[in-house]
Amino acid sequence: MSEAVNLGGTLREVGRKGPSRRLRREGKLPGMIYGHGENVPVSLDVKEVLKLLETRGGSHRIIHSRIEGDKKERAVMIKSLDVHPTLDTLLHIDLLEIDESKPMRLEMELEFNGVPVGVKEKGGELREHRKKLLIECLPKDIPLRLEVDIRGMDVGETWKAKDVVRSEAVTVLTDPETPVISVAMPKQDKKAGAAGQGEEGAAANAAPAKDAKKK
Amino acid sequence: MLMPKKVKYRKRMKGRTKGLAWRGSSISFGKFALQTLEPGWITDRQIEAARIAITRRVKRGGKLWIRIFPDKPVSSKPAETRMGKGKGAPEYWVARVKRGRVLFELDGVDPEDAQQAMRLASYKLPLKTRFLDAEKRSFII
Repeated sequence: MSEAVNLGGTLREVGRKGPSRRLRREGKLPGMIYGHGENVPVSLDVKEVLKLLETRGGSHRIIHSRIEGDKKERAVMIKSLDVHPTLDTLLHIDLLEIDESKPMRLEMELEFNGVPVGVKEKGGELREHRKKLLIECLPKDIPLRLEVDIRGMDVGETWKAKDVVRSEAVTVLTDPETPVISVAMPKQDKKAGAAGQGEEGAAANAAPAKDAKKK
Repeated sequence: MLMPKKVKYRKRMKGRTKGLAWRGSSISFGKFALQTLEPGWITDRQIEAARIAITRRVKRGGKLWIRIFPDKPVSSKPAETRMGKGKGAPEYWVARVKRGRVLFELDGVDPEDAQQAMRLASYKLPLKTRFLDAEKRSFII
């Protein structure tokens, strides 16, 4: 289960680009808390946010945010993070205020651990059908990550959504019969080889054909 | 080669490619990506050459996503033609990309193989690019 962490910050002045840019120059990260009632514009310390993101399951943690100048302490989660496309600097953070007594829905990524027996010893091929599952649980029960030990999987086996999450506190909302991961025997090499040659051959033939057309 | 099925107008103006790719600049499908660090035009042939380079390097393993599409026609005049007499005929298609645009995404292969495949693909492109790994993403203060 995820532990709650504390994050300090201050209320910020809302404006257009100028005030936010000034904050970023001072090493602060402009953000917005929303979800319950009014929206609260805040500025957080970039280093603290980075520290939080680097910890295990950072983005699914409940953060108890004590904002200087705000009336109350708020329980929030990181909703989205804006990052500069090439410089990789943080630009803005969206924090979703949550009610800790109500269950919440979220999409969590699956993490498959180990190499299946069917792949290691029998030459099977691992096929991941789903990468994320929609789950519902109380904020305090949100797992850090959905880990699945796949070492015991054999050739021909398919694990469904109901097989991969076994925690009682977590309800899987994705259809329980949805296939998540399977180990299958790879297709015949001959077929793949022929198809590959065909594809490359077609690509090679296509170019002169187009050139001929131009002329 | 990638090209639109049909277009509203056959010929288009050059235009300018300013600014950053605020959309399509993060990894959305796979674990590894090739991102452009310069703005420019990427032709249908370059996209195809890069695709083939990646596919051959990963030996048809994994899954590849092409995140750009050449939807802009480029026209040119025939050789040894006097100026005037209207715009030339459409010759090829290009994708306009802005700085930060993710061009290809790859999944289901080792990080080393992915990096090598993307390096080979980058040699086929006219722009400066960088390799991205979704799991090793780090932010800068």
